[in-house]
Amino acid sequence: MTYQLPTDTRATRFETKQYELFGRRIGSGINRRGAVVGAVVAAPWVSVLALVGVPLWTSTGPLLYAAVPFFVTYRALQRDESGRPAMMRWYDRVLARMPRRRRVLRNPLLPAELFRPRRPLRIAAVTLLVPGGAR
Amino acid sequence: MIGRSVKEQLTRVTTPPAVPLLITDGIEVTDDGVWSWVQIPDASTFLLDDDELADATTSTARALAGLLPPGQPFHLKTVFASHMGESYRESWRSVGTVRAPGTDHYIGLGAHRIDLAAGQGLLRRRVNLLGVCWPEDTEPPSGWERFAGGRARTSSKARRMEAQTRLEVVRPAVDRWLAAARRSALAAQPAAAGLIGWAYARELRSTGLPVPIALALTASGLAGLAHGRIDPTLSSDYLLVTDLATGATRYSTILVAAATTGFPAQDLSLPGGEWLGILAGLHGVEGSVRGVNHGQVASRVLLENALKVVRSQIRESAITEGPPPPAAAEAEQVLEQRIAEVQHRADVMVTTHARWVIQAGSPSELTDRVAEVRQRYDGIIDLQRVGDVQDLLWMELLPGDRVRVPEFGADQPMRTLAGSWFHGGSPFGDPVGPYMGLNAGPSADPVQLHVASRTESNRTMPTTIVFSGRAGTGKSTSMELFLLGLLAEHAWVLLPDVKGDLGGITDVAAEVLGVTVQTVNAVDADCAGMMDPMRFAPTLDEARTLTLDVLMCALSAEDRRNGEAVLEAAIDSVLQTTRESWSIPAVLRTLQRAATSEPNPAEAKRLGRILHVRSATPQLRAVCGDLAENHQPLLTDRGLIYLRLDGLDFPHHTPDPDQWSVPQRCSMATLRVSLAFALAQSRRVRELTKVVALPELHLLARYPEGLAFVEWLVRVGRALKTYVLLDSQSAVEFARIPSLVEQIAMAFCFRATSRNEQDAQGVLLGRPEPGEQLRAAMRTLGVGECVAMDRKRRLTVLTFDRLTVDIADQLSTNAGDDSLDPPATTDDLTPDAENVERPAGVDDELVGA
Repeated sequence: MTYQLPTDTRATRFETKQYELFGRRIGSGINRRGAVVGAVVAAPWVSVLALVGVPLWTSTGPLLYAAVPFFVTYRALQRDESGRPAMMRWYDRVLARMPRRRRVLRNPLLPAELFRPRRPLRIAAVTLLVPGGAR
Repeated sequence: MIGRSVKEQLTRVTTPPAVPLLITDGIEVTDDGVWSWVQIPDASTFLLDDDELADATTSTARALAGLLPPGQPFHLKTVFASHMGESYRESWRSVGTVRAPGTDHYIGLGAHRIDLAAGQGLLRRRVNLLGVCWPEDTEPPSGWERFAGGRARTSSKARRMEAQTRLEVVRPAVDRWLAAARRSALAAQPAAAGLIGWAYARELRSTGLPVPIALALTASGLAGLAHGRIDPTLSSDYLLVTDLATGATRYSTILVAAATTGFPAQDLSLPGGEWLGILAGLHGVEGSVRGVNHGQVASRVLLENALKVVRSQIRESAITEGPPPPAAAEAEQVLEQRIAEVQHRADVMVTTHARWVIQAGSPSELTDRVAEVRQRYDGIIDLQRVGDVQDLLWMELLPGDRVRVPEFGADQPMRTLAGSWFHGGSPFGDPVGPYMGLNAGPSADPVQLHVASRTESNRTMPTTIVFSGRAGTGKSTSMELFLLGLLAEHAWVLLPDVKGDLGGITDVAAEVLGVTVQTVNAVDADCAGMMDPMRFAPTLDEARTLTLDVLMCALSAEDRRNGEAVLEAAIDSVLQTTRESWSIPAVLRTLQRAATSEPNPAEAKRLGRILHVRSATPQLRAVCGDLAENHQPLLTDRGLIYLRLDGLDFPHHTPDPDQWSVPQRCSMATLRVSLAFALAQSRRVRELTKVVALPELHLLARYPEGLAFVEWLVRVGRALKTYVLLDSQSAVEFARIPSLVEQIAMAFCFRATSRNEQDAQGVLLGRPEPGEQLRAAMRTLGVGECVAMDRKRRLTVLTFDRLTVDIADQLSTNAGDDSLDPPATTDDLTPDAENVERPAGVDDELVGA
């Protein structure tokens, strides 16, 4: 008889769905996290277009307003082979390029001064030139 | 729920790595917290049946649940170090027994073999460390404080003083915890300061930094140990670890279980799902698990909150007028079940952050290893190599640090963590004593077995060791290796050899260990009279009893009936004389010269004549013959007596004495005397370590006297400090002697293919109903390999090591190949003196038994 070793992460971090929006049913529901990401992407985009003055109620307006957020959200939520959304990869890529993360780690038990790069020592030398005839 | 999940997903802790301010035995203090550390010894899970493994897992889960303080971070590290011959040498320092002249050389050979096997990757020492972070009243420095160097600006001396004060505050709780850890099923011991320092420093060097033999630690020593550099800038997928002391570099990457789906919800099970135990079979891979035990209350809160969310989803989904989503229904069922378990105190929840650390010499090798590890974990856990966080994942490995990338956490019952069997394996043997071979189970350690151990627990244990298995599997050679180990401690050893193929041990004992060796060939004219009980019996009464016994045994049933009284009278007459003149030939002469005044003189003379003739036969002359010139008494001091009985004519056809021929009766008389000598010597000096080795027990145990001897000796062996080594081709024969089975201290079972033999071996190994795993192990053993049980009734597969090619040749029980060359003499077989003198000169091939 085998002895099961369960993991409950899927249950304890259950991915919730939204089944209605403003009192209207949304098919089989949409992922709430996806909706939040979509809103976060759409908000600045819509704001920028509105500020620039791109009209919404034209033949291309709805496409301009919706297509980019839709595409970005779609790409951000696409999962890689590990099941991780692409936006997390982007997120880590950005953070990893911060200067704080681009440092070589040295023996933390020794004072940091020991590892500071050595600079050339600047020495000022003054020579008094005495003409030979002065002797 | 979204809040918790998103926060964990986005959190990246980028503060500098934890630095120990103070390390003492079992304790490490950093800027962020006070950690207590224990070392958990390997648990014996190898060859356990499914039910036994399930019970052990439940027990471990309970121990962990009781040991990990709820809500406090813990850190479990499974790391590997190399074994060193020097540690083996060091272990002998604590062995307080007398040593043979060549023992240091013998120890050197073992140490060399350990170094050699470690160099070939056959040996790895696993170190399991468990650390717990203790809550402090004072606020630890915030991330900003540390970023801004707020505390760093205080002097290091002041920080160390502060660390001391912080430690004193939590010390009572830590001490209680360490005591509880020692008492728990994990039998954990406080980690020595040196070990904690080593665990920290090795992450900075990653070049097989050996565990320091001296486990004390100085600040400068630790700083020196941690002399390494980590470069995360070369690639997003790996780090370059440089050992600044040697300049050696290693590439390191850390794998995680895929977020949310990495651990399967239901498909992980035992046996086979020991998700950290697997590491023992993977080279260059180590494990680290950080986490938090939620305890009863927080577990319920966690689960009930999750259940609320799931149920709300099920309610909301009703709007679609379809059935609830299968994932939600499944989650509801799982959560309800888990809540019930927590309510009944059957388990608690734990959040774990598991990491697999892989190292290699080059990026391409690293990629191959990652693929290999992922392949090994296929179907168990979905492991992922996540880029751009490797530096943070590496910092998590440092003892005293924290979870820096919580995105890959998993919520599990404690039994899933216990079932990882991070410490599961095949620990075997003793911490000191002679090196016997390699542990071929998951715990790849050198096996030391201290048969003559007199520790508090071992001195109360039985002293019988059994070897069983088919012919030609290496059991007799293995028994000889044990005898060498005992001779190294200068024991007295009696080795009766009924087949005559164990003679090689005499050369090894004399040349390698330098012990006294006495070879007695029972049928050799040069050994006549050496086994005369009148000469070796320590007391008059024993001399009388043994002499009567042997003379009666040599007579027919009819002669025994008539001759008992006259034999007693003759023996008594001799015993009235001085001790020096006691001998069986004197008894025979007394019989032959019986005066008419004595009772039944004619019968006495007749028996005297009969026995005189028989005393000259090869089967009886060692016992009853006139003493040979240049004779030596049987050895009663430290050393080896090799007693060749192969020329004797044992009555194999029947144990009934009435059906034995004269040579068979004489042979049995000689056998009885040898057994009697063993018993007499066992009683002689109780403090002396005495060993009686009986190869081919199945030949001896068929006779009532042989069986009685074995039963008696195994029962009294402990009291008399006499170790009994028994070797038989038939485990069934062993198992038929209940008194023997009860007295087995260690068992070594070589290859057995029939079910009967496997069942009997199971009895010897303390597993009367062997499961399929154990049977499979018994079936597939090679020469020199055995399933072994030690004094603690732990099992492993053991490969015996014969130390050198010369020793291997000399201990071999195989007949040589036929050739036209003259047969080798003993001198030819003597190992090259140079070879024996220098451990470094031994053949560098591993020599299994």
